[in-house]
Amino acid sequence: MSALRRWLAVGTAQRWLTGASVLFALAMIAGLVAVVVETAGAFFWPRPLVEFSLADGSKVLGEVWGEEPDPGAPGGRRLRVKVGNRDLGGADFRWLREAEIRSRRAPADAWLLERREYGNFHGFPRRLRLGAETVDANAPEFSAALARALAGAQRLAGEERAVLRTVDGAHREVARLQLLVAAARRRGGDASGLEARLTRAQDGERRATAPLLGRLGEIRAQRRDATLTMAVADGRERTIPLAGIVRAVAVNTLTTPQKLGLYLSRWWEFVAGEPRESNTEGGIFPAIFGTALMVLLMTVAVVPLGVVTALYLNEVARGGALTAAVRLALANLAGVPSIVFGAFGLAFFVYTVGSGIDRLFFSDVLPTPTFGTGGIVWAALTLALLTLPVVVVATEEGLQSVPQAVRDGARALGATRWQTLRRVVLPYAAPGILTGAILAVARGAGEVAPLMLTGVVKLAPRLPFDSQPPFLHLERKFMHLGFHIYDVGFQSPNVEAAKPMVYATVLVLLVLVVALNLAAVLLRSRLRRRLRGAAV
Amino acid sequence: MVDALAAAVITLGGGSVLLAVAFLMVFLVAQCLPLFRGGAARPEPTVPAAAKPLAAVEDEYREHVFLLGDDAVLRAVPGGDLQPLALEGARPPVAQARASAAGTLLAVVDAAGVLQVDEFRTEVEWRGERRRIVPSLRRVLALPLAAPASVLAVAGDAATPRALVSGNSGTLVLAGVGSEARAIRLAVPSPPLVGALAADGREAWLATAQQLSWFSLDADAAAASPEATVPLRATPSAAALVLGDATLLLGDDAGTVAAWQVVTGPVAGSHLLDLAGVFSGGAAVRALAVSQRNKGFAIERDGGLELAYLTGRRILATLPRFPADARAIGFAPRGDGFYAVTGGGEVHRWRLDLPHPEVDLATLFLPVRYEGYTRPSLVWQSTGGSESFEPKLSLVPLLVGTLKGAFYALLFSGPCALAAALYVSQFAGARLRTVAKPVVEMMAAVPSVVIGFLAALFFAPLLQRHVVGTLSLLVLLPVAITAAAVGWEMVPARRRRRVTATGELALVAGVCALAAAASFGAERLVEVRLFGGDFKAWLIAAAGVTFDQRNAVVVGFALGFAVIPIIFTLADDAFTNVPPSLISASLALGATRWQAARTVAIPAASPGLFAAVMTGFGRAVGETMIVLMATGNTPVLSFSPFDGMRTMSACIAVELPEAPFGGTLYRVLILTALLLFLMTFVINTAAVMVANRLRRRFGRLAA
Repeated sequence: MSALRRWLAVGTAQRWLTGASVLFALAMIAGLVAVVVETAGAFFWPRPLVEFSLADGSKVLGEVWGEEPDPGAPGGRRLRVKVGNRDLGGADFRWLREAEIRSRRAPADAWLLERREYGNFHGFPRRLRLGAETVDANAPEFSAALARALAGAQRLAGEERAVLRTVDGAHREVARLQLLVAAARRRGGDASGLEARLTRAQDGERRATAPLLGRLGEIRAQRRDATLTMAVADGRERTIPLAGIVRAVAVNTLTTPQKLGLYLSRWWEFVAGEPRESNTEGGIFPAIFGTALMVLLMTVAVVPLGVVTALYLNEVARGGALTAAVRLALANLAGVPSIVFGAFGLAFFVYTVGSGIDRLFFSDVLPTPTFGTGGIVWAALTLALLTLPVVVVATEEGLQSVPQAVRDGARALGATRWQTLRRVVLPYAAPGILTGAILAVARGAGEVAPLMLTGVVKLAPRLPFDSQPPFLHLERKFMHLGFHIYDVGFQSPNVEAAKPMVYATVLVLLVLVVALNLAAVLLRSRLRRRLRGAAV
Repeated sequence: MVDALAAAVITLGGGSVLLAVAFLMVFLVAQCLPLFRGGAARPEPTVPAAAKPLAAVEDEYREHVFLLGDDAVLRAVPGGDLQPLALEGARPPVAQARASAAGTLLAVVDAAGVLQVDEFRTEVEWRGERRRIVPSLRRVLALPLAAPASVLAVAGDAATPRALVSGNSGTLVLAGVGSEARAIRLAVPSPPLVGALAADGREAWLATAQQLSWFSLDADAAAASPEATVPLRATPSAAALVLGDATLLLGDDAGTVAAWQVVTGPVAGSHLLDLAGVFSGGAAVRALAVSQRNKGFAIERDGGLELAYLTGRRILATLPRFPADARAIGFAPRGDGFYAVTGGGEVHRWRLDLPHPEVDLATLFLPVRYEGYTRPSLVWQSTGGSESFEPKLSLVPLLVGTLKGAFYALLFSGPCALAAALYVSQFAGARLRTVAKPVVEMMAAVPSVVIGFLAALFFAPLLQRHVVGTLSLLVLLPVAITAAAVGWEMVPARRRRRVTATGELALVAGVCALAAAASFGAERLVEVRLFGGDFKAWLIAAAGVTFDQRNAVVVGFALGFAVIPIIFTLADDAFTNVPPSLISASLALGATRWQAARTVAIPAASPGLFAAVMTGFGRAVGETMIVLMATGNTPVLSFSPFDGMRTMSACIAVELPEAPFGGTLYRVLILTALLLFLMTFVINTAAVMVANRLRRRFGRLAA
């Protein structure tokens, strides 16, 4: 008995067990980072296209994405192969049993096409047709001609977008007048003046857009005439318009520097490009932009209020019932689940304030809501409420680091309280305020649940900030990185194919949040060093 | 001057935080209070009409009540510019008339003994801003009856009208159009007093003075006998089917309205009639009317009229100034009004304001017997496929799901985080301390949507494949570490001393890696030997427990990931705040490191540790994205760790954006948010209070 007591007293086992807990926690975070970095990092790296000859005589051309034990055949293994060609086969991925594979090779003439629709295409080029001219795939100049043609197609696409933008711009005045006329008719007033203006505007629009529309027809005809004919592994041929191709690569012939170039260009497209195929391909730029603009708006709302609250708690009222109540309120704000803020944001900002604004200022378009539905401003205000305690706590820490001697010195030199505050205390506390703002931004960027109620959408047709006056469209819905992860990972029709891309989004969000937090930690440690210095 | 102004502005700003929080709470309360406000019925002006009315219907906009008189003419009240409509081919005086529950069919038996069914429709014409209701009648069925009979019920639509008639030639269900109809003869021991017919024509109910019978009708059969019967104690006086045709309301002379439902019997294919609810009252029941919008209905008694609701089995309101001699009663098509027509031809109308009849405290928190259920149950199912769907809004499954998730999270993260904090603050070398603390703080910064994503799409499939290995690792790990520690103590103390704390930790890491390798390496072997090769099949066979891929274990682990840094940071602060002098003193008195930790550090830090765990619990209760992604989101009431669940927060996130503003679901979800707010408020406050009390008790130690 006493031996056991003695053994327990020494406590090596207890120490080791608690040590294992630390290791476990560290392993968890390391594992998370490793999984995300590995999956996202490998996603954009070009994989060789392998042609499998199967036992039943058929051929499959695809990228190998994984290998695991075959649940159907004990002892056997199976390959997870991305076969692409969704428009032909239906699914992006296919399981191949090792037992049914007769041979495999990496043909040099296998090309990978990244398309705007239906995902990737794997196949062998046959011929390129540009209007009347045809280039055979075996011709030596094929690669160069294809590259030139693709560049031309992309130039045409750019021109088409520009023309369409101009046409849209010309229609804006007409659309505005149409709304006004409809509203005037509903009110039963005299709309003849407006109607005359509308007719004039329509005439003007017709005159301005006629040549543009002609050019648009030409562009479209040219784009239709530029096609690439490819053969699939089983010999079938398929003709693909060049306009639908983002990138065409003979992956199996790439050298390592070329692969690296392709890898980087894919990353760039991911970060700076527009989404395709209901977000499962292309880029996430609108989500990055929406996140950034939303947290910016949130910062504009939360920092002044947070700083004022911290000033009140630290500089104006020292002690007292009101201070205690404010502190209690802040403690509660910090403890309340974020979804409760979301529910409040929806019920108050959207349905109460937003609908009120609509009734007052946008009654001509009712019942279509303008502010009475989720929008970026409501999401930002909701998150501002959520992140208020973060800013207050950090600012208070900053204010407490201001040495009393400095304040006394300022007052002794004849500064008023306000002057002391503005000229001495606030500049001194600036790192604390900045820390608070950064932490609030980090928290706001990662928060998703309240946004789902207050204005985030899967796919926003327009950014909340553009060249149309008033430039910043507070009422618009927006896209968000965190919601993008949830939406594509769980609501998308093609989760399996989209999953690796979601890992890339996760990596972007993680890098953003961790970088912000690191910045806050560094700032704060500087502040604490000064605090220690001030205490001496 | 500027000073005073600045001080005022700053005070105002500080106070506004207080106001904002108070406002948040008050606003949420105000949003869900209407749920518990009872209904109200306001009488509208009475309109006199001429003819003796037999049946009445109302239009959707409540502009007119249309009365069918015994002269076979349908009149609008108030008339306005609408001409009376005559029933095509009906010979006055009409002996009997009945309207279908939806008010779209009128069945009459005329003076010549012809049963006639007419379709009644209203169309809306717009003249500028003015609305005009245009009624129309179309005969869809005319059938001479062999013997005098009365119409018990009419149901269906203009394409497939059906009437339940009873008379000297028996009780028949007649279905057809034009002048042709198929008849199904229903076998009853004595002439039925009341009856009801389902809109799809598949079921009929008949009540004689002694017995209630339920018939399942086959369109091709010529006769049907009751599939289920039940004896009655009092004489039935009225019958009606609640919207959806799953519940029969039977009123009797004794003043009781019984709700009957069909349930499957003990023998396969057999059926039983089951009493699902009783609405008792003083006076005899004279008539029943059902709403076409929800599960509400009206009970007309000798002394007045009550509005009742099936789901909560409760009376919502009584109509003020209800006439004593009402001949026809009914709900307005939108359920926002009620009308009654007296024998003298007076039309009484009421505006109904019953905003949330399906919800009260009992339906939110106690078991309710819903249609299609054989027992009172706690169910959350807010939307359904059909218009007659009965919303099931019990908050209990959500509450249980929330607490279950938080419990499993704490079960895993609590010990882990506290032990880690103890190690880092008491045993670890300075190097580890400077690494571990910021890393764990970074862990807190990982957005929950990232954790949820990885838990659901990476960890859950992994766990499903390696569930046996994971479970055996849970057992093996502590055993292996303890055994290794015993082994380590065998090593001569001289050599042990040369190993630093960090080196010791590396040893522990090695042991952990070995244990993991062993349990995952031998996983297949263990599964074959102990569980017959398939753990999930064994689990179902041995314990009757199913294994969902996204289950409470996954959620517990993922939530634990979010909670560990919170508990760790707060617990580490608590340990750090224990005065080092205390620990040094106990070490100087000969205690080992472990004894110092157990007898000095842990008791002294316990208030902080408790507060840390409570704060972690509060976070786990409110976490949304992780549970949304890593649970199956199935609102099942189950405590099994391998089942999915739905928490309050996830339910709000999923359903609130779709819930129409001001509707019942919207208010119930806001109430859920308020409950969540109060729960976390209580947890946080409790954490602070208990911590304060413990601090007083252990204050002497810490001082």
